[in-house]
Amino acid sequence: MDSNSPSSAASPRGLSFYLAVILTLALISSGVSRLIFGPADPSGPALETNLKLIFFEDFSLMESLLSNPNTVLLDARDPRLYAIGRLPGAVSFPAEDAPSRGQTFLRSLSAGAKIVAYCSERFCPLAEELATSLLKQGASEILVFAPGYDAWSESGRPVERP
Amino acid sequence: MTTEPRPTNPTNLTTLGQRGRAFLGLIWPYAARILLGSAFIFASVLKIGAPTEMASTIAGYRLLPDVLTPIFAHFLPSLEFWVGLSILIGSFHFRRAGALLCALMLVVFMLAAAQGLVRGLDFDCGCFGFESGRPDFFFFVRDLVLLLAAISVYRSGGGRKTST
Repeated sequence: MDSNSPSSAASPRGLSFYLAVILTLALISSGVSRLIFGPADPSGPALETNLKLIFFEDFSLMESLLSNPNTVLLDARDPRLYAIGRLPGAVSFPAEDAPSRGQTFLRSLSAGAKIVAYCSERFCPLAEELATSLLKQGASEILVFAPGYDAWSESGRPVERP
Repeated sequence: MTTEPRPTNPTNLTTLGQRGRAFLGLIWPYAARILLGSAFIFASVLKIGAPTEMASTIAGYRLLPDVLTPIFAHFLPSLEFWVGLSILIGSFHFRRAGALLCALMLVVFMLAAAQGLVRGLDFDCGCFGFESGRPDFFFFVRDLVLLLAAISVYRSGGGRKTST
């Protein structure tokens, strides 16, 4: 090591010792920062800017989405309303279930799947809640049919009833 | 007695260029240390209190698996802080070790940014604080300057060997 310094003759430590000290200090303080500032939210890339939440009004777009085999149509309403009537091919996915079921659902999707959500009417927030939660859990693009189920069925278009 | 000229003696430096180079040689190790150390401490202080934003930023690079993202969100700012502190006020060996880690991190940051740009990701640099934008040309220039400073601190120790 350095022979001209009298103090270091007693401790001939290599560079790796000092590297280990710095890394250990960093490990300890990262644990402390986790205690002080709380755990980093693993729910995902909130700052990522290529996430898309798209509201659309167009009934004909909804019709073409319904005829597309890649579309996954989610009914964000209460399951009891879903049981009474729903858009053709819709799957019941209540917004309140999104935090618990979201990951499993997103993993079950095939590549290229297009997620479309709807609620009962324009001012019902459930479709948006569902979409926001799924985006947080890793979905990249979700469409929301803003007019909702009521407007769809009032327009005389086909609905699915049990 | 011999009267051989000793051109390496600092008192014999005559031209402005020689003096300038000698002066630069004296202050550069300290300048590099202060630049590097304060940059890393500044960057870490901005990030260490916001692990969630940090995790989002790391996730934006789409390099690490989801399990490691929160761990790195806590670890990276801490490492930046201790590396900066070692370079700024550490002893000779601490400064060299810090500079080595620093150079390593800068290379990793540059590679991570380059892969993000090549893959066409729209991600945040997260260099000095969040929402600092996509890495651009200036990002690479700045990282290269810091990398040069790190290499020089690693090679020279950034000053006298016996200083604290």
